Amino acid sequence: MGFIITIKLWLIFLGRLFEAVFPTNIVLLCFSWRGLKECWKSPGGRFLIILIVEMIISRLIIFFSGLPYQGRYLYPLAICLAIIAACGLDRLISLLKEIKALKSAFATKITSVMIILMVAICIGKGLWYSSDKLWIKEVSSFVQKSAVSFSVRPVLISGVDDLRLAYYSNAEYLRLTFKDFSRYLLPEPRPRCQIQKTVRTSEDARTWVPIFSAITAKELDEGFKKIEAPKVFLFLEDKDKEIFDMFEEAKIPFPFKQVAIFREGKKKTFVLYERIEQ
Amino acid sequence: MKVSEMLKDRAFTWLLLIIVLALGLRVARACIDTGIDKDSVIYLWMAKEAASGNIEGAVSLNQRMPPLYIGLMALGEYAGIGAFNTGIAVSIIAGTLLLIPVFWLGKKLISERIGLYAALLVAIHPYLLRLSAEIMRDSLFYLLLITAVAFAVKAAEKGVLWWIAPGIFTGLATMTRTEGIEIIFAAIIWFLVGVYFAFKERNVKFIIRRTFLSVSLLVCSFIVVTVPIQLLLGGSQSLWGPVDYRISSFFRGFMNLKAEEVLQKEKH
Repeated sequence: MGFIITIKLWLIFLGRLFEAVFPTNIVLLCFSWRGLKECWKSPGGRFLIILIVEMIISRLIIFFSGLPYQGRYLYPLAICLAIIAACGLDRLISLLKEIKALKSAFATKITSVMIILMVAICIGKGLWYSSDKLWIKEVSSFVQKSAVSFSVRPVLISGVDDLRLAYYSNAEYLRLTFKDFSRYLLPEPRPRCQIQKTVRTSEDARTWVPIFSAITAKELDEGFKKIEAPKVFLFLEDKDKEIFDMFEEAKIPFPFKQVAIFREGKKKTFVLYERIEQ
Repeated sequence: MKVSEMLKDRAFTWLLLIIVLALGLRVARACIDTGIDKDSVIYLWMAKEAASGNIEGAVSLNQRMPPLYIGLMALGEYAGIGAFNTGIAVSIIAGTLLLIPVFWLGKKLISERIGLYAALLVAIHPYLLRLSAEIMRDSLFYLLLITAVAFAVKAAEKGVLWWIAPGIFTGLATMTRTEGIEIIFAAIIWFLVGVYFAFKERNVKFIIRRTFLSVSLLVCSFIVVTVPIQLLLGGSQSLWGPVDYRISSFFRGFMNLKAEEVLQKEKH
């Protein structure tokens, strides 16, 4: 448990908490001491405060247990703290009303100005839309349109692990992986890559199982050719070069041709390939 | 009470306006961002499988999934509204209705004005706004959780029988996300604090008797809501239960993990 004294981890957790509660509410919480004290006086208020403390402790335990942690786990806390922050807003407004300069200028409008300011900041952030992930729909639409003349569903082999591609494209979704090998049917020796699909097993419900594993480019090439579908697509992130290295090392022509490029802002580039039919 | 009379009540009018603002913002967000989250795909597939009568198939997609949100989506799919539309509608409506228990809590604990401010802060909170416009079970969970808190606060100040209501809503919240059970733990801690104060006031017997009855009612109503559903799902491969079976692994992970491992996972 020595890791609990690691400052870096605490900073990460506090950063997440700060973000989830939202900076404007954090500012208001700084003014909410009186409200908190008033809250503690009533049994119901004590219940709310105990719940808040318990939520913080449980989130800390989950965070420090090393599980994948998402900011939304902290949102119930943000709601409970909003009630306390409301006391801070009230206090802040009354403090501003006490300032002489403000009092003479627009005493009656301080509440309105404060609320409008809060609403503007929060709504701006809440309605801000980033189209970074638009490529998911674009890829799917491309795959759908390319296969529209066929009665059989196209196959989309993806090196990018995102089930939204399967949902939007309505294609048969296969996963290409170089590291997350399935524990089912794992052959010896260890493969270099696997093409997997989800199936239901009696043991632990739906899981990824390999439809074929490959050590060499030749095996992978044969595997690709065996997939029975009129249209087979391969979708990769631009930086995923391992598959190309395999084919280059074996001096075997890559069985796919590039058909489209998609971008996620300036950070990521994705390429869609289509199987070369012989 | 007539509507015109209710509108004369300034606080009620303001609350109504905040609710309309919240609803408008959530609908706007849903129209702006038509994309879905990674988790939503599983929810949609589960709802469609369940609506077609294939409960086994639905459960196999995620064995730990609590049934309430998926069940509502499946109902929508079955009724012809569509799992997607139902999922969004449930999130938007729940995200908007959340303001009512928040307002009530603020009003009850401090003042009516604080209740209105709290409702406003929740209505415009950017991340709550976003989540309320997505196919995610969180929005429904927050509504049920905070309603349970509101009823618990009411019960804390009223009689023993009131503890049935938070038990029911905690059960429903747990059927949406397993963290819902936190309310029970918080209530037990709150009762213990009460017992501690009772020792000071030499009022122990009465408080202990009331505590025992209240906790029993809270837990019983929670069990009545959740356990039948767990039994119903017991025939399938579902691993969902009112108490998350992973709790022990959280603690194990908490006790055994090294800082580097957590940092590594954070980077990943």
